[in-house]
Amino acid sequence: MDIFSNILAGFSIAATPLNLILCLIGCFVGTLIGVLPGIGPAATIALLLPVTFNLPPASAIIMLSGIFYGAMYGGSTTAILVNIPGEAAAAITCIDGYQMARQGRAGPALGISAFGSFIAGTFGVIFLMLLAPPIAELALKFGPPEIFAVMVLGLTILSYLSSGSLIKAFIIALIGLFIGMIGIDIAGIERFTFGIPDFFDGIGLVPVLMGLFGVAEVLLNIERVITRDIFVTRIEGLLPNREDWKRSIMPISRGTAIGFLMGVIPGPSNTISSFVSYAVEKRLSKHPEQFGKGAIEGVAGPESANNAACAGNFIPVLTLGIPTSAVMAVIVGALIIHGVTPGPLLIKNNPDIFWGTIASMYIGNFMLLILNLPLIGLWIKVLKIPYGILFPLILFFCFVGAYANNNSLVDVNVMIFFGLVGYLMKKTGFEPAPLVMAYILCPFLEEAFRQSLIKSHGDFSIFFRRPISATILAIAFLFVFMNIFSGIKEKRKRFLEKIDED
Amino acid sequence: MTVTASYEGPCVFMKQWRLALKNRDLISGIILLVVGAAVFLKSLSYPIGTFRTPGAGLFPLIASILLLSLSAILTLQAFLSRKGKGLAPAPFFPEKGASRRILLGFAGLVGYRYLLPVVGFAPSTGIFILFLIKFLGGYGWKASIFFSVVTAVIAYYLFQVWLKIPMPLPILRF
Repeated sequence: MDIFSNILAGFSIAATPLNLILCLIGCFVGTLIGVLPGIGPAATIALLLPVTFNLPPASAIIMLSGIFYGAMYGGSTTAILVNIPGEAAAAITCIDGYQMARQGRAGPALGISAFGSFIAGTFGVIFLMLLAPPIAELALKFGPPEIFAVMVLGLTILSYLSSGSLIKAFIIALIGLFIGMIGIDIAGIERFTFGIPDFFDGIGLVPVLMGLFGVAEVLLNIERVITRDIFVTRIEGLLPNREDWKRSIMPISRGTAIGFLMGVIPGPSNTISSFVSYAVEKRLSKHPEQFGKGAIEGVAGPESANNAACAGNFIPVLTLGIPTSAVMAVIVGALIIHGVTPGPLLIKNNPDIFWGTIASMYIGNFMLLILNLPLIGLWIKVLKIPYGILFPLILFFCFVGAYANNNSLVDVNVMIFFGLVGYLMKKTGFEPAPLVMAYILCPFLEEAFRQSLIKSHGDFSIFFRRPISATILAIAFLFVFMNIFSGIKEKRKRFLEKIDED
Repeated sequence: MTVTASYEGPCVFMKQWRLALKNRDLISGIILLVVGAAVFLKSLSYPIGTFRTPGAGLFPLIASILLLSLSAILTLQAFLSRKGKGLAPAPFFPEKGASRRILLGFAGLVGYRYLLPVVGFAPSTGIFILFLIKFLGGYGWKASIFFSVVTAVIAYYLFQVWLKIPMPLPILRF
């Protein structure tokens, strides 16, 4: 009954005209940038952050999270029609989605991905609603060693899953830590600032994101002379038929579970969960040979997984106050700007934000279904914007986004620098994700580390003597050993390379 | 024979040098070692404290030692695989003219950054968009000018008038 009355209160917040409009704007913008390749939800949310300064905190979060899950819907449209992932999370959808489109089944592919997203998104929100409050209770018992262990586990899993060598992933995560250390530390000592006053508060998240994900991506794309052919197909019958549903319903359910569980783990879980879902569906399928040739399961599973992961992503933020992805880091930033402390007490102290956002997600998922199916024609028009016009605009938005957060040209310098760094990293086989995560987690990680040592009077065994942190760290070590002793990683790499070739 | 040997000497050296330059892991490993060493030395200048009362320098010190060891492994691996066969990776630039295009795009961004405080937001935006569409987007002058003017006007009203983002005042006023 408690949840019931809470969610009713949530709907009364989410259904105010202002919040409904903001939710719609969020979903619309999310779909738009999801459809457009080269600009992602993290950068967009960062860009729109200043717009929310004058809004009540609940309204701000409602709009910003709408962009996040909206992007997951939009990304699949581009993947299916153009064979380019509009969003990293839709990369795997390209394989079977595009094949379906070539066989004239673009309609059902778009349809099942929208319905799958809707079902998974809705169930994800239900899980979030049911699980977040008890986990928050549990998290109140977490001390610094446990929080430290959770973050180490997150970084390890992320490094383990990123393509390329584990050493490179760890190295780049350490570089991320150094970037996170720039500024004044918890004891008030200025570190690695090069004497630049703008760096005393640390290097801004927004310029780093804009550089690594926005500018670097564009630089990689403009290496080639710009041509993009769009596979023009007539889209008829968006509704999947009975057979499609029969084949998709289990992948959607499994995708929802996989997505939500992976979403809780730190890292770009939207992307990873869609890969895992694809692999699971292929293994369980009675006709694995159809995968890669337009199997609807290969669209339904991953698309559900990446949407459920969105909901799972909110768990660590709402319960531990730790952002587990770049998008969540920006959302945490938004909460802090609005004077709300993310963490175990958020649900108790700010029920309007928690329940209002949850309720708005139900509404938002419904809006997205409408935005994505009847309005598909609009998104196809957006897709036809040539890249030669699009990429200057993307760079322009990155530029303004980096500048506008602090109205600082130093931030623009930071963005350009990280654009170049991100480009060179891609060229030398370093993934940006571990860098960003380590950079985001660095202040939390260092604080937990130092507090743990103070608590134990300088005894490092504190991390291994407490049962919860010992278990979590043991899992992290297991991942490192698994990497050394097994060929899983190699297989995954080959799998990824194969996708790249196709 | 001696003639050829003395002729081959620098040639072998150049070949080795070129191979080393192609070995991206080796180069990144060395750069990372330098970064790690710099952070290590800098951390020593901050109060390290003790494990009992950790100071500002402890965490970066530990992280830099980890980085130094991992980059040493990376460098060593790259150095040992130097003579191996799988050395020719995908070329750094995928096609001819790529380096020029990257340079143009990068120059555009830097130019925009330094033009903004001089001529103001709307004009610099227009020039930036014009430059990119014309020289990288593959459009003619007419279309490029049209798109850049439209973008500059919309950007001006959206960001400066509506969202009231304070832009640096131009040094040059028209």
